[in-house]
Amino acid sequence: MKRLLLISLIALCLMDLSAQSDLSSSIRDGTQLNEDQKALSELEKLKAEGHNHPDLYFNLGVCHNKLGRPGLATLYYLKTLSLDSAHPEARHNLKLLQDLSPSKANQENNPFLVQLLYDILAWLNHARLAILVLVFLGLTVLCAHWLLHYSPDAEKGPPILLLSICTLLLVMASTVLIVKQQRSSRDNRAVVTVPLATIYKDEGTLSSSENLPETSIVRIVSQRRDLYQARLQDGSLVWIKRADLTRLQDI
Amino acid sequence: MVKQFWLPFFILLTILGPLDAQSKVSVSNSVNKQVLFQSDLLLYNLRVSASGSVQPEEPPAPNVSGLRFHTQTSSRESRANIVNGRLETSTSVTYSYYYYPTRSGKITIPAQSVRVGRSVYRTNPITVEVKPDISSPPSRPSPSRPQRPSSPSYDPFGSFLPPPPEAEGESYILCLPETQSVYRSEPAIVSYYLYTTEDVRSLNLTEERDFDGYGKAVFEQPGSLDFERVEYKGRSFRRSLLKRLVLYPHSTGTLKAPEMAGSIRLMTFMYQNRNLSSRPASITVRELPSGAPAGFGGAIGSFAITENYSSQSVRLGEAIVYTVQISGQGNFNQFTAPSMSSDARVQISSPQVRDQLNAGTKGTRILQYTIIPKVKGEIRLPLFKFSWLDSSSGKYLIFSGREAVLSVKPGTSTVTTPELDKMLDKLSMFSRIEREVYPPFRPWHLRWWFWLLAGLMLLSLPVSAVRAKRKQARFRDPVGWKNREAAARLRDSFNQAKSLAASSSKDFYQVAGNCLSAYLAERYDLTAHLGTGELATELASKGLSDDLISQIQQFLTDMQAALFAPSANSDNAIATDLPKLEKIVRALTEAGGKA
Repeated sequence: MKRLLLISLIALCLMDLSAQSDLSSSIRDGTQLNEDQKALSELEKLKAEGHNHPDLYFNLGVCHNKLGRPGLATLYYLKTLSLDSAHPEARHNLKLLQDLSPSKANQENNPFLVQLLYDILAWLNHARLAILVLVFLGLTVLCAHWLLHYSPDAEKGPPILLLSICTLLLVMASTVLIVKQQRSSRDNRAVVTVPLATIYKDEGTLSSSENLPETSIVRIVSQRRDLYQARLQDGSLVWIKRADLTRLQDI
Repeated sequence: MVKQFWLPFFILLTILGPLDAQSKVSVSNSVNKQVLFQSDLLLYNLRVSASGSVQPEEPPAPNVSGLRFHTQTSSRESRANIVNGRLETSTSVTYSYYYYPTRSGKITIPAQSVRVGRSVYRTNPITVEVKPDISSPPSRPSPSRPQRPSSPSYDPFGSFLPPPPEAEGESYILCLPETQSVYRSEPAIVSYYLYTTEDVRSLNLTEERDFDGYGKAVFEQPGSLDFERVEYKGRSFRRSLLKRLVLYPHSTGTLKAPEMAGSIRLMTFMYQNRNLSSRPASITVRELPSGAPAGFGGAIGSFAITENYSSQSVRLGEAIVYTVQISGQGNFNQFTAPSMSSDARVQISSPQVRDQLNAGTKGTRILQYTIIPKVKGEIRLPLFKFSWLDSSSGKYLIFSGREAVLSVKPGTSTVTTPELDKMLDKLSMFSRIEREVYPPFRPWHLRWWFWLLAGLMLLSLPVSAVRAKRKQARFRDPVGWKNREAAARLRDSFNQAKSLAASSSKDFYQVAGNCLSAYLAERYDLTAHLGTGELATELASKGLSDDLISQIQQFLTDMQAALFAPSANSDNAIATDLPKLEKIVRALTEAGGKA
């Protein structure tokens, strides 16, 4: 009888354990959490020391994402892309993060050719543009040499044509490089890093019924008191509380 | 003959027609409800209908004990149909009388007389039962829903007919939170109602003032005022939902709900507007309890979770889809989908998320993970885990997916594993980039070697341009170029001779003679080794001035004397001959020796 009771008791315990696997209170086991937090604190330390490598910012983004802070992850991925617009991992993770975001506000639906142009411009990071500038400068100088030493009585069409093409390419590459450098150094983008940011159409009344979810990307136009005037992806101008946004320049 | 036969028949029809029509008049009466509450409106209809036209005399509103007459309307409806080629017309006139009960109990609307033409018709009396008003659910109002006609308080005209006039009307906007206490980041639903005892025809919300500490979204906003009867503070009110917001608290403490302001349009004896503001309301925001489980992604609410595998038997190279459905109410827009980690046997994508949510708060989220086995055999799939804070119990809960075994058979599919891996890579996030050190990052265009290379390339241009210019000059004017080259050489040789003269070297005459002879031969195409006389003749023929020719002749003679008959005071001779040579060189290089 005692054995029967003991077996019944064990069976009941086992049933209880199996039921707990479906829905139960949890005992804290923060192994993975600690790993990410540890990695994050190490990376933050490196950043504080002045390191500014794109991979460092990318890794910070990955850590924040794993710790459930998609807003900060988006911010660090943007920072990575600001330094190296062709960073494939950052581009991929940022896109997936935007896709995973409950909000579809950030998802761009550009026409194919426009998107292709953006992709090409993104692929041309600072390093690639610098090489292109040097290559086109070299070609331009070579063509200039050719033109200078071209036989005076010969038709100068070919060297002038080549010189024009190379000069045009040089100007284009230089312009893109300068613009990218300017935008990188004066990047006015910011990301919503709170769960939901309220947006206001009017600075004075602070009356609104709209909001922006976390990971939304905006461009800061101006700032007054504790508000930022920001331009949304659709081009509209709104006011957002400073506490709800984190600027790229601030990290 | 035919006309004479039909004419009396038509006259008979004309006379009998109206009589026939009058015989089909009917009068009926009805009420919109047999049982009503004291605050309800009673509609009493009297309908006179007839085939053909009808012109009843407008009956007065019946005087009913226990009912207070409010207003009356009438409507006329005419119809014309062609049946088998015959025109049939019918008309009905409806008189509507609105009453408010003044007492409870059974009330009888007496029979009424209606005169149509020369006939008088009588209606039947109708008895209705009036009940005292019931108490409504108090402080926590339910969402505004239209009541069913079977409901005792159902009033189909309540939304557009005025309430009974009262001595002093009241209207205000109330902010009613669904709950008084929430956790940080837990959505709190607040409803804004217009409570009124007046005849509010419209409301225009003009302002929504926000306070610190929350984000918000619109949960529900009706397009028109839809009143229902409720009791508030012991009085009977009509109320209509204006707006329902979801607040997402950012910080703990007391959260002040947004303040709504607007203006209502009232109908008293005339239209008038009045501004209203919602009364302040607050919610207590609590910090999340300690003991959050690993992988807690910030989900708070009440959720029900189901899972499903598209298949549990595949061939190598095929994929299955694992679907998780999270339903309920919570902060859906504040947590991301949990990731499932791949291992050596299966690769699992990042989830594809599809939401069917209202204001990011209520509804269903569907997560789909693509799973690709890497090996054949029986594979125990990783468990899906989702943890959240159950807002009702205040405890952290974890959903663990059921243990599933995937049976993977040898592949025959045309889709190769690398292709599936590639597809899966597109759906998976990259992990950290392992780096021992992070070198200082400086863009290439800001490094010294970039500008050095660019500078060298640019510097080559002026050098090349100078060379090209000389080349072109030689090409365009060969004689001039030859002369300039000869003059340059002459100047060089003169400088050499000058330095020899400074050191009183005997080679001065040798160098001076050579440079002068070479220049003259090159410049004027003279043959070498001419005698002094012949040289003078040739130079004269080239247009050189006589003075210069004589200077040259003199210098050459002195040179020959110094070379072949040196004297003791040759040093003095060099000192006197150098200025002569300089004069000759200047004359030759400046004007080509011509006068």
